[in-house]
Amino acid sequence: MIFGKTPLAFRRRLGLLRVLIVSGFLLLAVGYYRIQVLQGTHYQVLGERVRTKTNVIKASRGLIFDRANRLVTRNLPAYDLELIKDEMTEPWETFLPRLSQFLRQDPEILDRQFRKACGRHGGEPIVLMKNIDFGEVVRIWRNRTRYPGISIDVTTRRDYTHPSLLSHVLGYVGEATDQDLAENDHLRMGDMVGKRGIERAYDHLLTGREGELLGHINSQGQFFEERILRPPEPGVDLFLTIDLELQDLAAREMGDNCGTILLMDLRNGEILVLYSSPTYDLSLFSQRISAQQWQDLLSQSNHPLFNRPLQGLYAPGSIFKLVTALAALKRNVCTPQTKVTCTGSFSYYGRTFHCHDRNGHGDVDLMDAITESCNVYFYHLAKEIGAQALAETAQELGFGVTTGIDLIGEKEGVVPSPHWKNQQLGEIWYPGETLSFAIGQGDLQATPLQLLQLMALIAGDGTAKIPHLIKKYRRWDAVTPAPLKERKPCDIPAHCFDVVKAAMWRVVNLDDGTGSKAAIPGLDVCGKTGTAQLITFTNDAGEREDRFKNAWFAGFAPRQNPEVAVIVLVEHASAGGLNAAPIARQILNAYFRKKERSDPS
Amino acid sequence: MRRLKLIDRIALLATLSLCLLSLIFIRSATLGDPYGGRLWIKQAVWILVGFCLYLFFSQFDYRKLMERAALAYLIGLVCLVLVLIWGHQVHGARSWFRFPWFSIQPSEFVKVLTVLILAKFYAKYEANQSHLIDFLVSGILVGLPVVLIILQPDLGTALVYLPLLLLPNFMLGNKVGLWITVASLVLSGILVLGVIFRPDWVFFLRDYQKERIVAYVFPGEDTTNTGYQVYQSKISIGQGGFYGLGLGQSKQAKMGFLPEKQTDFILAVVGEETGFIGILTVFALFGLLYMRGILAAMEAGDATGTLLAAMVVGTLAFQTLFNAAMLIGLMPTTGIPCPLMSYGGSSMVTSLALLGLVQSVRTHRFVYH
Repeated sequence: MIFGKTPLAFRRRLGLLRVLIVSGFLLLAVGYYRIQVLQGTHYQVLGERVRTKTNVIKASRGLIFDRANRLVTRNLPAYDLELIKDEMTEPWETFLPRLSQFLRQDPEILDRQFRKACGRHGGEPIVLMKNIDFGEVVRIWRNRTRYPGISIDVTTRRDYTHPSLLSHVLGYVGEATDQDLAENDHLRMGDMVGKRGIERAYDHLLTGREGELLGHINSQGQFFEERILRPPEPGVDLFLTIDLELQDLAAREMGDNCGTILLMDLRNGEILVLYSSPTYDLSLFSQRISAQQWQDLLSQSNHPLFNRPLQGLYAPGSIFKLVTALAALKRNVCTPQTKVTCTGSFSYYGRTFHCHDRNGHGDVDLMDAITESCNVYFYHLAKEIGAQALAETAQELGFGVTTGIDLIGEKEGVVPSPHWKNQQLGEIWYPGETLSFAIGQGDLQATPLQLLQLMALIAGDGTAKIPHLIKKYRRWDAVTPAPLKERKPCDIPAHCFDVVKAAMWRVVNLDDGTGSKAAIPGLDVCGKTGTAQLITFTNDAGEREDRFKNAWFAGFAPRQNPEVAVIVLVEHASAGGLNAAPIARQILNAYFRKKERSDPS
Repeated sequence: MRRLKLIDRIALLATLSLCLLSLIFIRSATLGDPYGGRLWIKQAVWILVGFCLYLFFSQFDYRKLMERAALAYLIGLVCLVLVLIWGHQVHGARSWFRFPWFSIQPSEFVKVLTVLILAKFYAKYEANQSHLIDFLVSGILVGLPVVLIILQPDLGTALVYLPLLLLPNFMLGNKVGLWITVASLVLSGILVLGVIFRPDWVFFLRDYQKERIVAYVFPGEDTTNTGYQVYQSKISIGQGGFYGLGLGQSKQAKMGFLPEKQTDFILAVVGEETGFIGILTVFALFGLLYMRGILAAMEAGDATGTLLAAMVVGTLAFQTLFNAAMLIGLMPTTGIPCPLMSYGGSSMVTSLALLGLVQSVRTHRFVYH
């Protein structure tokens, strides 16, 4: 046995190769040691983070009831069509036309939904269509094997039992916008939030708190649940102050007219009726509203989405004369007995201002002036009081600031004054504007809710509760009544209110009072009508003619220990006494009859 | 069979151990997989086939094998051309012949044939050193299959041929030729790695050109995806710690985060389930195997035998080190399997056949027999 002749050079270079290989393995062993031993914990944490995921358990949104505990907003199951990419057996490009034909859905819409979710894991479902109706669900489910990848997910949707009666009170929910997402950290893409009405104002209570579910995911993003980290907390149930029967009556009385009806319980500030006409159909938002339907709603000339009691800015017309009267009485500019002779017109700084009765009212005192709504009398008062002082009293009585009702989007209105006009418009105040102001015209703008508050203050001798729409909350089973909030009392002596109240009683209960159509036998209704001119035309004969007028009636009842205040506004009508007062009568009548039925004593 | 006694028992034992570990970890990695649960049985069959070849080669005189090397090499090249035409495409590379029960990857088998033809070519340099011109010839011999494989395109497998180009010249070349080849190879290596790893450093290429190169190197996947693979593989290895999570307990592989867990990334499963200890064991077995291979090269009966054994050890060690480095992100993920460990019939049979050749060099180390 002899060894083969391996050249020496070979041996040397083979040795080199051996060193190379051994050092290669040693180097790698150091590399693995570094990762496995030195940084082992770091990678353990990293691995845990990659594999675990907490999922959200949605909290059910709170229900809404009326004051008689009748359900008005509930949650119903909704069906979403989902696509799971991993279960698809053909590419999206060829699947899409087939699917869109089967679903009778525009391929572009489906494609947009698909692309929006493209970056996600394959195991996570993509919502292609929301809120499909049940018949369609059955059809899809029967055919699902022909379209591998599609699936139906059950979620909830909001449903309203009185979709057009309570639209402005309840509002609706919708998908959170980018702005909502930016403002609220808890929100996630696709979450539903309240958009209007109670749904929006009480969104924080209605939403509840999401639960958390811990689990593992695999590389496809499929979720395997393990345990509940935190159970979800359902949203708070709300009980409205709204009385459904009266609200329904208000809707019937208003008919096709535009306008608003408000009824408030003076003793606690509960709003019994809040009706804004025209309304819209909430079930449009409960289902999926189409872009077309939304555009239609927005483009209607009578603005159904507009919540008139809160957001409508109107000239209050003659109702504002009550404020002028209070201002005069407070400043002792006049007494109830002060008389003025109304000739039907009034000259001031070279301009002639007319009374609505061109023949004049003759000699009138304050009572008569309010009862017959004599403009000239208040022109005289305005001249004495001055615009700035009148504005101060108006602000005292709640004009120019929000009432603080528990809805979002309330307008402040405008109380004009020389100072205001200079600041806001940079113009000087003409003396004639003081006169317009005194009779509730000109730049003065108020919401129906502010007039309701005025009624409450007069009825309560300067004190009033803040109006609100929620009677009580229910969290789990615990019921909490909504806190009563008192408005800051006005600094006006009670005897001033007594004079005004007496005058308001006469407006309704005297035969020649402008509000006599609101009278209810056996009940002392107090009120004031108003007819605000919107646009004044000059007709062919050269006479001035008011084509567009808003008819107002504001009042409360009974005179002693007042219980409710009412506001009726009918847009584009002829006169407050003619159009608004009868409606107020119906509402008040219904309220007191109902009260008698439930409480015979 | 007298020569059976001459077989290197230590190398045989190391080889068998690695094959056994391969079975264990493939079984453990695919545990609970809906489709991969039976892969380890297929692998066992391939190991049996490979071992038959291993024993056959170990008893067969490699010098006689040389006589048919040229023909076999040509047949191999024809196979590589055919696979480009009729091959089955997987992950964008056309590198498989598909049969009813199995697939064959000719680029693996051609490795054996290339080793043989190179050994035959360099057989004339028994005692003297080769010239630079010979390097050119070996460049062509290695270059032909490499070009055909790159056309598939399968850069990983082509890269494994690099040691075959380098080693003969390293072993036999004169000083000048040696350094010129080493220098040029190092340069091209840096360039290739540079383009793959740090495209922004390669200043003379425009962005889209780099993207094309990267896309060509990694067909069907973008670079962020390969980054993801390495990230997951590092998590897998890292959380194994010193002792590992236990056999069959790998979390990354089970939840599907570890890609190619039973093929290219099998060592990551070893690292996760048996920890640093397991990795060290595997490294030790490989190290032992290759050291025995070098010993066989040193004790070979002639220069051809030395070269043959050195080339086999060189290419297998290169493959092992590259694969292990790839898992912890030290090398780009180019689809180089770990010899003897990764799942894959062609790779397994080829590796065993190559090791069989080393055994042949060892059993025929005595000149007169």
